[in-house]
Amino acid sequence: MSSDFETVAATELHTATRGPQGEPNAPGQPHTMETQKPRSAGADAWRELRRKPLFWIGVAIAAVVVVMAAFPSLFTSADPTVCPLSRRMGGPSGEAIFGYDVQGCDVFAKAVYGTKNSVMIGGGAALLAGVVGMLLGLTAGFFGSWWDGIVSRIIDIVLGLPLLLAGIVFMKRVSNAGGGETARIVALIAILGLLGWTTAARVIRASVITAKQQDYVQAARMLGAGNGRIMWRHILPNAIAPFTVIITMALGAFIAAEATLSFLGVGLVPPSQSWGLAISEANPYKREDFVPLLVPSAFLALTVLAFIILGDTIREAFDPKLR
Amino acid sequence: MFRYLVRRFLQMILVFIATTFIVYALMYATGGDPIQALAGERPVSPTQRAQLVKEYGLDQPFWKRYLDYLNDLLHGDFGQTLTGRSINDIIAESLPTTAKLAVIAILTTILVGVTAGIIAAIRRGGIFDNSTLILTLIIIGVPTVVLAPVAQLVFTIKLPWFPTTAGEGNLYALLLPGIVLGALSVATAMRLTRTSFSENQRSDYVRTARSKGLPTRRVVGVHILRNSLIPIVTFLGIELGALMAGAIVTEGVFNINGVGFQLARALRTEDTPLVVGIVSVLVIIFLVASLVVDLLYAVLDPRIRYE
Repeated sequence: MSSDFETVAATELHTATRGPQGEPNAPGQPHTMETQKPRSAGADAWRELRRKPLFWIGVAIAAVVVVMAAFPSLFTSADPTVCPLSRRMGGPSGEAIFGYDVQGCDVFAKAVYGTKNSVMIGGGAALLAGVVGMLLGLTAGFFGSWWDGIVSRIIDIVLGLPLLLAGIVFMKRVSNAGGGETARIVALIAILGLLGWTTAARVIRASVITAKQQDYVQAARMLGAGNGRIMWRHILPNAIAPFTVIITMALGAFIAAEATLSFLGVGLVPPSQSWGLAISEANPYKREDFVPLLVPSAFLALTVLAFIILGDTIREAFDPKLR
Repeated sequence: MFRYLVRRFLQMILVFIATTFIVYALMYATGGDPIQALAGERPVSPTQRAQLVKEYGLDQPFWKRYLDYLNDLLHGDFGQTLTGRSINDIIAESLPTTAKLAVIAILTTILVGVTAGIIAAIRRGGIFDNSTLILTLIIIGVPTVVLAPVAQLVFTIKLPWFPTTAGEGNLYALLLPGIVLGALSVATAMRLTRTSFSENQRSDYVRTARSKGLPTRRVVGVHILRNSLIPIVTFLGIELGALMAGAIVTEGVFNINGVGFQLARALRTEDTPLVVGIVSVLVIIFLVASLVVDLLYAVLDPRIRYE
């Protein structure tokens, strides 16, 4: 699932760096006559982003999702774990705007309380994937030789395991070992993060290899800058734009992957709250009542969509050919 | 080319060994008591236990057991399920259905995705381009766990155009699940085609072809299209592996008796050997597909020369 988003991002980024204007985010864009200080690539991209309604839609949804994850009680006063069977499949009412599901739980409250786990797992996995991808990609590209060989082989191996399949096997293992909600959340973060860092590492590695040969890096080295400083101050800024895009999109993909694993019964399990679980519980009863299916589906799709939109608009803003 | 082939094969062998090792180690080496799992709730006497341990080779060191497993795999033997059925039989029964599903998905991707991508690239910035861009964004944003149940609800229950469950796989019944499975790739393929096509439109050879006075149809259909299809072919090859994995959800929802359905069932019934067997098959398909794609690359694009 994640490979789709990442393939697009990586391919389009790759073509972007070959454009006639050179790298999209090379420091020192052409000076404008009226300003003394050259605008950085980041500032340029920000000016471009600010004007896009689609970007603000993504920001708005993502902001609502994060607030909902942190303070679910702001959005609903109902408790998602109170499920009297007497109100089983009760339709919408003043107390529950989307009614009650087959167990008698408040559909809307369940979806609201499911946000926290999705955001935590998606965010945690994206953070882990980002850190691992950046460290390995940066060092592999910078030092080259045997270390690059090892990292490249590890990437090959991880790419040989499709995210969902490997996730199933790993999570099955965690299920066998037992363990509560916290253990499962940590396991999901670790698994998704450790399987999802490869695209980020590849992009960073490629831009490090390009940047390493540039004159300004040689100059910095001659001025006595150490490896750490060169990597951090001179090489990394080149790679940060495509990296951000990939991690943003991966965040959406990880949230979708968590829902899929929970849907299949190997991710979070009841009594945890998760959109994937809610979808899987409502699915068999959709002929009688489809609202309990559509509500968590809409929450999940909108959240994933928000991060895909964010990634997509940021990528376009950093791509000078699309201006 | 020969040296590249050898290197690529070695690389594939390394990946194959590492991935099967990871899967095997996770599922067997640390998971519970397999003898008790085999016996179910009944108590196992020490003599029975000793006999079973010997029979299944559980007294062997871990690396020996892994090598035995690898040896069986290389001979095409995936072992037995907990209920004693041959995993090969199960896979042979269910793989054709999944393959049909994947073919429908890939055809949908090519017909819809690539065509829309070309039209969008030719009329870049137009209404069609902008609306498909937003549409594909939405399609990418909707995961299969959402799309499959909702499509089933809308197109089989509310509007009874398709049968609700597909079972053994007559082609018409597989159409809707196939399209659902392919939807994600449609969006990606469309965007890839658009990017690669519009990039090629600006290249020198296109200008030359146009200035020679070739009709637009020929320039677009032969010159640009052939060059733009290279990344699409790569994408489709890699996608084949992802489709096999994505089929788990689709097949589960539409009750299709394919590999993904068997995998979901194996997960529910805690049938560890079946899970490992199916995952191994899918990983092998994935690896072979990406190898074929890499080799196709050289055939499709003569500019690429492997050292």
